[in-house]
Amino acid sequence: MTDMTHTALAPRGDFPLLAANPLLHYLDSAATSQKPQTVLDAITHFYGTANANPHRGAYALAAAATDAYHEARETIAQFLGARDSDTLVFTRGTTEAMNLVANAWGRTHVQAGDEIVITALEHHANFVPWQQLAKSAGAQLRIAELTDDQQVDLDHLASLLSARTKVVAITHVSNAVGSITPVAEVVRLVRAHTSALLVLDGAQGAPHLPVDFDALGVDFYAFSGHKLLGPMGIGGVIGTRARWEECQPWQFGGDMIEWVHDMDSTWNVLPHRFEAGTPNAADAVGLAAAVRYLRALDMTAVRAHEVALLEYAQERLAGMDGLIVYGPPADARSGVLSFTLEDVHPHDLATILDQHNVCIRAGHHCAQPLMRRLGTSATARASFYVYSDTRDVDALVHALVEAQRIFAPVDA
Amino acid sequence: MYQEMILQHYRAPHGRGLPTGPAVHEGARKNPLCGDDMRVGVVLAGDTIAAVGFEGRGCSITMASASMLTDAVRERPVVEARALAAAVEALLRGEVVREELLGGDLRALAGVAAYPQRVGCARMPWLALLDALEEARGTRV
Ligand SMILES: Cc1ncc(COP(=O)(O)O)c(C=O)c1O
Repeated sequence: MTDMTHTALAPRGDFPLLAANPLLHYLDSAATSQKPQTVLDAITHFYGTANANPHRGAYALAAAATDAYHEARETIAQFLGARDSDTLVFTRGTTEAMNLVANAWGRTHVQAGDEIVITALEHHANFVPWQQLAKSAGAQLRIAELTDDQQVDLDHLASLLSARTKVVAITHVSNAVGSITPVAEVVRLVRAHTSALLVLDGAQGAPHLPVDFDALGVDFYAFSGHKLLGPMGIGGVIGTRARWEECQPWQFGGDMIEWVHDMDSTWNVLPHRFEAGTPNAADAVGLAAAVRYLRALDMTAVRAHEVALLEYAQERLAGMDGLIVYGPPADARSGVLSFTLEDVHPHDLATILDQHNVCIRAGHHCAQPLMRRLGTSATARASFYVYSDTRDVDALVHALVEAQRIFAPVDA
Repeated sequence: MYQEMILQHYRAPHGRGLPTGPAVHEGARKNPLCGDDMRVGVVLAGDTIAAVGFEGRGCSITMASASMLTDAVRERPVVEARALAAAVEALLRGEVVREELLGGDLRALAGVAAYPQRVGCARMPWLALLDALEEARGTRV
């Protein structure tokens, strides 16, 4: 057995929901993470001390709101390795970020006969916006296939790249099976064969791996705050200044304009040009508190903790009859255990596990193209985060054995 | 919820396989939450369901519900099958359903009402049945 104590990386007591439910085994952090008290406090503090409409008042309180929002942007940009914090545009999350890039860049740059390359791993949020852009532009959608352990097949990816490739959009980490994309290798391939826009879906990358945007070499990096201990409704996309300059505004209204004439308008500067309307300043402030919390834990330690849990889980589950675990080995996989158990449908598993206070996700994980390739309609998925510990894994294993007992075929 | 009755139907479902022939009317439903799908086929003789069967993949609740459905509506008048579907729906919503309206194995589905996320699983075959009956009505000359 791996030498591991029961301790989590972050104390359960920091998370009000976990503290209030000591018996709960929350293993669905890939869907959304729990929130530490500091995040809730930061949001309350903003509303209690600095609430006014940012950018819109010539009074001290409005300046406080503007400052808090600005500071949040700097903190989050820095956490993700973007020195130029104005290249971070806030959105509701990854989904809105992908729609932003597909509209703001895609609509003016992708034309009939062009090609958009994605992979079979993608979450629908990084699949459907490109599929629909391709459809409306008359471009061709190309899908890079996977290896037998659900990693992007880099040879196949390379074979799809050409001068016709206008966009390559790829996930940093798969939410459904946990595969980690070798970004440096992808960047090298894409830059060698194309001048395409390279977009990374960081919804599962930012929460679980150290991210250094300036060193990654991609054009856009999208993320969701709620998956990295932050509140729902805030996330963003970081881009290089050169690529942002190529974008057209995609939503129109307050804040994003410079001047509105009767018949035309001019646009505000980055990042405001792409943030129409009253911003979600309070949740940005909450997210800044979340990244400070993660920074204190250290993202290298976060990654190491998840790998240790994953290895512990694999050991505990080794030899379980009828268990199929998807995805690559732990060194190429995020803290995600995606599996099926013979004779037990994932929905039944989730219900029985729930009866044992174990929360897992069962379903297609918003990755139907991937499920088709796995030849299943659904998998069960347990996912770990900083507050997970080996007791959570033990509870999972215990409940799986119980599920198997209930559904065991009766011998004739 | 996982009563022996449900598990028995799940392990060895009745009525598996769609009836064949030109007179088959079919209804198909998908559960978008899990990607499961269910097809129910019927053959009518006058106003009676002469043959019924299902094809699909799903969890124990879906499969047991489909299996029980075929037992319950085979050789029953269409109006009674519709009434049965309504009674199952009420049962799944947690309402009290009298034994005369709905008896036998189907009562085992009552336990599903306590799991709102799973009610859709039990409902799927019945919706497919109603679709099939609707299609039959539409094509009747
Ligand atoms: C890999 C991946 N991409 C995109 C998304 C979409 O994120 P959100 O729903 O926060 O917009 C998710 C989360 O569900 C995800 O896991």
